[in-house]
Amino acid sequence: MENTESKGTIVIVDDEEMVLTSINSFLDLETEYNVVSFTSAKEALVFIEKNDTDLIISDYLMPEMDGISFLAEAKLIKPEVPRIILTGYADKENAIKAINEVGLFQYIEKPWNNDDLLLIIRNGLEKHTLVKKLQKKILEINSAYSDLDTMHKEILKAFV
Amino acid sequence: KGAVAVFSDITKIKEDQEALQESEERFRSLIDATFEGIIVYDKGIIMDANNSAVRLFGYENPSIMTGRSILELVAEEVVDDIKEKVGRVTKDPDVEIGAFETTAVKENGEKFYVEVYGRGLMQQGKRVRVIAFRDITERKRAEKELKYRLEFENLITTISSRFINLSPDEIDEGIHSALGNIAEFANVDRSYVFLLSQAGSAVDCTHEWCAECVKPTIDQCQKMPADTFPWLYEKLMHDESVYIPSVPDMPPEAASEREQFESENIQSVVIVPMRARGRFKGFLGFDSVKEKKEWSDDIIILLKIVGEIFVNALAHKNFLEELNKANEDLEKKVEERTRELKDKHIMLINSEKMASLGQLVAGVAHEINTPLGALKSNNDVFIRSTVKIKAKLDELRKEEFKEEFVILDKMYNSIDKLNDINKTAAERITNIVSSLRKFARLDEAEKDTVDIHEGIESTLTLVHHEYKNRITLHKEFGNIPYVNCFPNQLNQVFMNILINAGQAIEDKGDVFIKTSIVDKEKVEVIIEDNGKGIRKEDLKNIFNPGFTTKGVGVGTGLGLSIVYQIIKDHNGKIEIDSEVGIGTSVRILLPVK
Repeated sequence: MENTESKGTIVIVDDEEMVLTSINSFLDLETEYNVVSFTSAKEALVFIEKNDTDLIISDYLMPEMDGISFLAEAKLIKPEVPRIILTGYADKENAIKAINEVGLFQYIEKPWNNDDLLLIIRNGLEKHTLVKKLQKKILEINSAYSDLDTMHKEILKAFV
Repeated sequence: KGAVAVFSDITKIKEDQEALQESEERFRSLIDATFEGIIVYDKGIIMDANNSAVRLFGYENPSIMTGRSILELVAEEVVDDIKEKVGRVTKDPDVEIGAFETTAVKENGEKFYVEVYGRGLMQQGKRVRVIAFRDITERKRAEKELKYRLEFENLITTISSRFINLSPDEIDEGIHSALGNIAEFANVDRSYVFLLSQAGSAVDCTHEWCAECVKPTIDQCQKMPADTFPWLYEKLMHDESVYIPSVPDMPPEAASEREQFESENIQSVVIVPMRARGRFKGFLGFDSVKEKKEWSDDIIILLKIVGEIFVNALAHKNFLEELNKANEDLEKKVEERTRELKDKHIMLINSEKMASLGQLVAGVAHEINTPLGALKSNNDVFIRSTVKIKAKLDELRKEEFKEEFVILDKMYNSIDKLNDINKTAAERITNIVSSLRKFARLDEAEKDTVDIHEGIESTLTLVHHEYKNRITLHKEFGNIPYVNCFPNQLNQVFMNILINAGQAIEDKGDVFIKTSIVDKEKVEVIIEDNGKGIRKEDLKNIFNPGFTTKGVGVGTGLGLSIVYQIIKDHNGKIEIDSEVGIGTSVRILLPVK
C-alpha cells in the first residue's frame, strides 16, 4: 500500500526548464514518485489523457496557455486528480479568485520551500488515493448490491 | 420942547419874530423827529441833543444829557480814539469827520454800535460841533453773523475737500479731527457721531471729540437701544434737527433726554440727523458744557452738510472695506484652489508613481521569484545531498584512503559552508522581494485593516541599504490594534520618514521607532533620529510641495508633502519637531477606524 502511494505519478508544468529540473531533482532525491515534467501545457494535457496521473502541478504565468486554463482542462479530463498551482505572480487576489473558479487543491507561492512542497504533494496524493479507494469501495458496494439484487430475484424465483 | 415919536410898524418885526419862532419850533420838531441821533457840543461838553439821541442813549430827557462830556457816551475801549478825534476838531472846528464806527454806551452801561459823523456849525455866533449818529448794532450783528457763517462755510469746505483725499483707513481719524475742528471753531465742549446698527435697533457712538474739560462718554454709548431717547430719536428719524438752547427748558416729553444731558452737565445741545440715500443712518451732535451756546438756523444747516460728508465718507469706507474683503476672499479662494489643485496634482503623480511602481514590483517579483524558487530548491537539494554524501563518506571511511579522505572532507566542508551561505543569500533575496510586494501592497490597493508593524518591518527591509551598519535601529513596538488604512500609502509614509531619518544622520547614529495606542482609538507612531536636525525657518515650510534642503538631485521636495497629504486623507495628524544638532522627531497619529 505504502509502496503504491510512493510511486504515484506527478505531472509538473512550467515554461521554465530550471523550475522543472529543480523540483525533479528534489523529488528524485527524497521520494520514489514518478515525476513527468513538461514545458508545454498542451503536451501535458495529452499525457494526462493517456496515462494514470495522481497529481498535477502547474505554473501560473505561461506564454502558450496559462496555468488556470490548463488546470481547468485537466479537471475536465480527470476531475479526481488534485491540482496544485505554483506561482510567482504577485497579485495574490486575482490568483485566489482564479483558484476558486477552477477548484484547486493547493496554491504555492514561488520561491517555494521544499519541505512545504513535499507536504502538499503528499497530502495531495493521499487525497487522491483516498478518493480512488472511495470510488473502489463504491464500485464494490454497487456490485455487491447488484449481486444482492440478483440473489434476491433468484430467491423470489425459487419461492414463486 | 417937543418929542419925537418914532413909530415904527413892528407888526412886521412881530410877524417876523413869530415866524422865526414858528420856524425854529418846526425845525426843532423836525430834528427831534429824525431817526438819527443828533448832539451839539462845544469843547467836548454836550449842549443839546435831539429826541432820537436821548432815546438811543437811554436818557429820560435832553436836560440830563446836556452838560455831560461826550466821552461819557462812548465805551471805555474807544475813549482814546474819541479823544484823538475831539483833539483834531478843537484845532479845526470846521473839519468834517466822515462816518466812523464806534462803540457807544447807554446810560445804563449797555454797549451798542453807532456810525458817527460830525461837522462844525455856527450857532448864535459861536462855532460849535454837531454830530449825528445811527444805531448800527443790528447791522453789526448781521455782519458778524455773516462773517461767522462764511468762516464756518470755509471750515466745512476745507473738511469736505480733506475727506476727498482720505484713504479708507484714514476716514475714522478724519472724522475725529473734523469733529475737533468744528467743536473748537464753534467753541463747544464735545462733538460726536452716533451710527445706527445694522439691524437698526441700536445706536453706537463711533467717534467722539472732547475738550480737555469734559470726560469722554464714548464707552458708555455703545449698543444703546434706539428707544432709550424716544423724543430725540423720533425727531431725528424724521430728518429734523434738534436744537436745545437751554437744557433746563426742554419740554416735559423729553424728560429722559434732559436727565441724560443734565447728568453730563450739558447746557446746550445741537444734534443733526445723518442720512444717506434718503435713509436715516445716525446723528451728529455738539454739547456745550461750560456755557450756553446759541446756534443759528444757517449753521445748523451747515452741520447737516457735515453729517452728510461724514456719512458719505463712512459709506465709502464700508464700500471699500467690503471691496477689499471681497478681494481678499477672492485671493484666498484662488490661493486655496491653487493649493488644492497642486495637492491633487501631486497626489495624481504620486498615485501614478505608485501604480507604475506596483506594476513594476509585480513584474519584477514574478521574474525574480521563478529563478529564486529554482535557486532555493537547488540549494535545499544540495544541502540534503551533502548530508547524505557525508553519511556515505563516513560509512566508507577507511585507513587506506586516508589521504583521499582528507581531500574529500575538505571539499565536503567547503560545500557545506557554501550551501549555508547560499541559503542565507537566497533567504535575503526572498525577504527583499517579499518586502517589495508588501510595500506596494498590490493585493491591498483598497482600504484594509492591517498590522502597522508589518508595514514598518517591510519598509525597514527596503531601507536597509540606507541604514546598513551606519544606523542602529531601536524598535519599541507597543501592543496596538490593526488600523483601517490604505497600507501601501502608509508604507510610503514610513519609507519617506525612515529614509529622511537615515539621510539626516551623517555618520553613525540611531533611529528610534515607537508605536503605541492613544485614547484607545488612535495609533501613535514616533520615528526619531539623532541626526543633524531641521532649522526653525525650514520647519514651517517642511510640508510645502517643492520645498527641499537636500540640494538638486537629492530631494524632489515632494516627499513630505505627499506624506502630509496621505496622513490627512487618513484623518490623521503628523507633527515634526526638530532641533539643529540634536535630532528630529516625527509623530504620526492615525485613527484606528
